[in-house]
Amino acid sequence: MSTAVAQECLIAGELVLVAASATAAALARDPVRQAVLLAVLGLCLTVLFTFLQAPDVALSQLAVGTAVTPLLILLTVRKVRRPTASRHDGVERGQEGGDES
Amino acid sequence: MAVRHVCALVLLVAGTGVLLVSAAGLVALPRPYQRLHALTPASTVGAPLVALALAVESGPGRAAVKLVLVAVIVAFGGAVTAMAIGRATAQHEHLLRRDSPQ
Amino acid sequence: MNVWLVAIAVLLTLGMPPCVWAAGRGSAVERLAGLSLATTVVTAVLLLTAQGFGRSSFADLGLVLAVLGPAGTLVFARFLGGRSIEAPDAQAHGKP
Repeated sequence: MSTAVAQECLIAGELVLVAASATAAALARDPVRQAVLLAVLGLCLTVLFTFLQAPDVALSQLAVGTAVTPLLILLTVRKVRRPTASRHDGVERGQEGGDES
Repeated sequence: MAVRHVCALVLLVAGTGVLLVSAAGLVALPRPYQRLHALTPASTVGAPLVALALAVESGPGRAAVKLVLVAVIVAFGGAVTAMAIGRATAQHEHLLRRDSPQ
Repeated sequence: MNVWLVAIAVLLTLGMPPCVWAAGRGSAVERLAGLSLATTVVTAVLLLTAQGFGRSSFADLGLVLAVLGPAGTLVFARFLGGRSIEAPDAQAHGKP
């Protein structure tokens, strides 16, 4: 089997993996759990772009998908959920001394 | 040349085997702390063995130095990551205070 | 079709699905194990791709991922452990 045919097979398998992880990320309802699956999806897309002979796109996808997107989602979720969380467990949070971050 | 290729093949098979055993352990082990045990061998043994196989195959030079550097970074990063995940799990299950020192 | 591409195929078909499955199950902290193992496997796959396709420049991707992967996982562990930003399950299911 030549290298080109092997590359086609690897691309096909990687596409299946990307579809599976993207479906799992779409089916998760909680944004924090979605962030973890989005990081895995970014890794799978990096491998796919590498198999497609596009290392520059893979490099940018690596930086964005692995580090930046989960950080943005986590920061946003923390900013949004803080009033709700402080109302739900305000006693415990009050004993521990509020915002230290 | 043949001896070097055989050495690279042995290292590659060993590293791939360790990675696959870790992946199987991630599915088979039920508890979160037990899953951490499946995590550490992959990053400290499996991926460095694969990188060493590639370094042996490519021979001495800049590429081999880069691959050995990747192996060292993956080994240290995997150990630190496993400890951080264990600490986060302990804090999540209230076994550890949230404001405990690092 | 050389031995490096066979190793890539084996790692992708047998190594990555357990990682995706572990990353899609349980609470957010439990999913971090799947993410970390996926990072390790993808690093090995990228290094093997550089040798298998004969493009030595692809090894830089493995180097970048070896640096960025633990950083990303540490960000997750820091946020999920330091502060409980994940809603508890009872409240998450109770709210509309």
